[in-house]
Amino acid sequence: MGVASKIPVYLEKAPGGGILVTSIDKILNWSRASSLWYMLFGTACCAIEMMCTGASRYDFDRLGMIFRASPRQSDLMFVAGTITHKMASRVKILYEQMAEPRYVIAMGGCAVRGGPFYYDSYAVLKGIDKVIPVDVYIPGCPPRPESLMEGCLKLREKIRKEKMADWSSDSAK
Amino acid sequence: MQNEQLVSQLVEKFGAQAEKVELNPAQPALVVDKSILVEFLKQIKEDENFKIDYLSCISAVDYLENGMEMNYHLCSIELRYKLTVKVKLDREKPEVPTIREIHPGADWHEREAWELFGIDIKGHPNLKTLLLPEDWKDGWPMRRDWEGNDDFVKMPEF
Amino acid sequence: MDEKELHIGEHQEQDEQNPVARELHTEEFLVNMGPQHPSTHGVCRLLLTMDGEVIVKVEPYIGYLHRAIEKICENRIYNQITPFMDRFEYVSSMLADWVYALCVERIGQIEVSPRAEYLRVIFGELQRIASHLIYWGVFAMDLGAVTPFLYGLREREMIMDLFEETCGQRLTYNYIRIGGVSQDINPGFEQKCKKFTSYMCQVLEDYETLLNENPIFLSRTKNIGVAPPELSVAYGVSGPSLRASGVNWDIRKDDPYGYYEKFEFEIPQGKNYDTWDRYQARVIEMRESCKIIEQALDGLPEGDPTFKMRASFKLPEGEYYARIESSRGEMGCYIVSKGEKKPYRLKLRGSSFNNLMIIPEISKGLKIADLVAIFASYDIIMPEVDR
Ligand code: SF4
Repeated sequence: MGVASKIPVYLEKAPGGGILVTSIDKILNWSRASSLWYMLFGTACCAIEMMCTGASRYDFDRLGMIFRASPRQSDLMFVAGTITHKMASRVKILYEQMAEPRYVIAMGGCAVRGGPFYYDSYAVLKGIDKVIPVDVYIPGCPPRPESLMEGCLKLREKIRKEKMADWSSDSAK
Repeated sequence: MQNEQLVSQLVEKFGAQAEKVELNPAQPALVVDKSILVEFLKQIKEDENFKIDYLSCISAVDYLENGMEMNYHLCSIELRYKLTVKVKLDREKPEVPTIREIHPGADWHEREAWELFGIDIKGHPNLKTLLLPEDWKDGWPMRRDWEGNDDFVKMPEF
Repeated sequence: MDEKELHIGEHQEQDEQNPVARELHTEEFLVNMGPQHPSTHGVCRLLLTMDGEVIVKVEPYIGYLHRAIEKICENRIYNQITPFMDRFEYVSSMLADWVYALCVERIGQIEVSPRAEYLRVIFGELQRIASHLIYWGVFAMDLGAVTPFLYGLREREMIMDLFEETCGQRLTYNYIRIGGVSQDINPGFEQKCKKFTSYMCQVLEDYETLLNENPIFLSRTKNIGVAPPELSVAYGVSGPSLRASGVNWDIRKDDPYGYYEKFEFEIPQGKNYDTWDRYQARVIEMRESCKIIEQALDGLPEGDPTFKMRASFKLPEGEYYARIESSRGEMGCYIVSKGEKKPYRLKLRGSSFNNLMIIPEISKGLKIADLVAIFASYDIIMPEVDR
């Protein structure tokens, strides 16, 4: 990706430069969307559903999604389960360890907004988006495997619409 | 041996220091003074008639103006009966001796009681945070009169 | 550098006499395992002090999933608490519901209809199989085999189907309620369930041929992590892990609840107290559970298994420590009621809490890979530890 990572720098300067690279965009997006390797990271109940989705019946592999144990090798992080204050800083570290481009799916009520532990709990973080950016939210407690799949398809849609011209501004943030 | 018999035998043996409380009949309970707690647990563990060698759980309860209480839920693997040992604590300065020497499994239960209720475990070598974040500064969250911290949202009453 | 300066560590003195060891001896160093680590089954952090490849000390750090369920439950009416029990132990939610229901029933002297008791046994045992299937798959996966994981979850899906058609959920069932169960089973459930148990018994044979003679599997489990009975009892280990340590203790038999006295089943016990025994105890338990389910299905009485009551009710004053045999061991629930609509204090005892405590004790002097095997063999799941 040596050359490709420099492209956005030149694109910025040329007005309408995005037109030049639409085909490359398509190829890159296609390849990214079709092999989303996800990090095996689950904290609570939703992780069991994530495991089920990865296993025999629902079979994530047909979307080209394979689990990796290390954040360095993964493109996608499912925040599956409750994140407590104690865990929040670790989630942030994990997110920062992932190589760009990286995506996050907040799975389950807990990751979205604290879920059943919103009230009366002194330990639970109320929404993972307070710590890291989230691409797709999947509500449910736990979401069924089908809705998890749906969420992944939505993420793929999102990736397909990405433009190379947006990259540099993205990483500048 | 029936649970009831067990309790009366224990009361007989320990005299005024162990006092029976009427609870659910399936759950005999004794109140012992915290000064003899360690000795008491040791004796009922070693005594051939009782052999109470298994500690299930320790739960602390905060009764506000009535002080605090530590409940030791014990049972005997071989003779198959159970017993709850209660220790009453002063709420101003709750402290209780550690029972780690007799039941090593009490270690984390005691740490938990210390961290969530502020019960000082005398003689515990490793009294540091277990469940809460390392930088927790907001007091003892499981006490009944805990006010909550910035992040705490009380459930509205319906 | 002076050669002596390199030798820092406990074994310095013995090593001094042995020239080879003196050459090879390294400084102790720390390895951090977790909180995100695939083989810590959740979010547990283990801080290992290593001497070369050998573990000198293990220090678990827990609390990454401490969700304050006990605090929440103090502020909820009794019927609102059952869903939290599902989340307290999500790998065997049915059993967690059961212990809570049991505790409230014993305090309030609530009668449970026979049909409900039978259904509880059936669903409880199905749940036990489901939980052990996850254990089986994940245990093998931690030792490096991926196929068993797929097999185990394939069979688990069948149980999920049975649960789903009865209570509509796949993971957090909220099925066993105070005084009964939430709804009766559908017509045709018995046949499906029987079909499943007979299928399960066959599959278990496949499982055994798949792993039991595998030399890698054997050498990684046999004589690794020996936990003698006295040590296990002292640390409060329970469940199949305790039975694998040669202690005959099963709450289903020794402190019976529900209708377990009516069923015949055996309790496997280990002889070598090692990782292999802990694995084997669970595989045998699955077979015994199938037996219990079949007996319960045959004797299922007629009647209404649900219990009608007001949404919010006052529980009489009292306190009780209820315990059941969950798939990991003794699961306890202690409720102090002051005659109000909400419990005054609710304490949960997860079996993994105590089971985790013994791991540092028995893994001294082993390798990291063995620690992974031991950790997996105790079937630790974190929500039970942290609550
Ligand atoms: S959303 Fe529900 S199922 Fe998922 S982690 Fe939270 S409590 Fe568990």
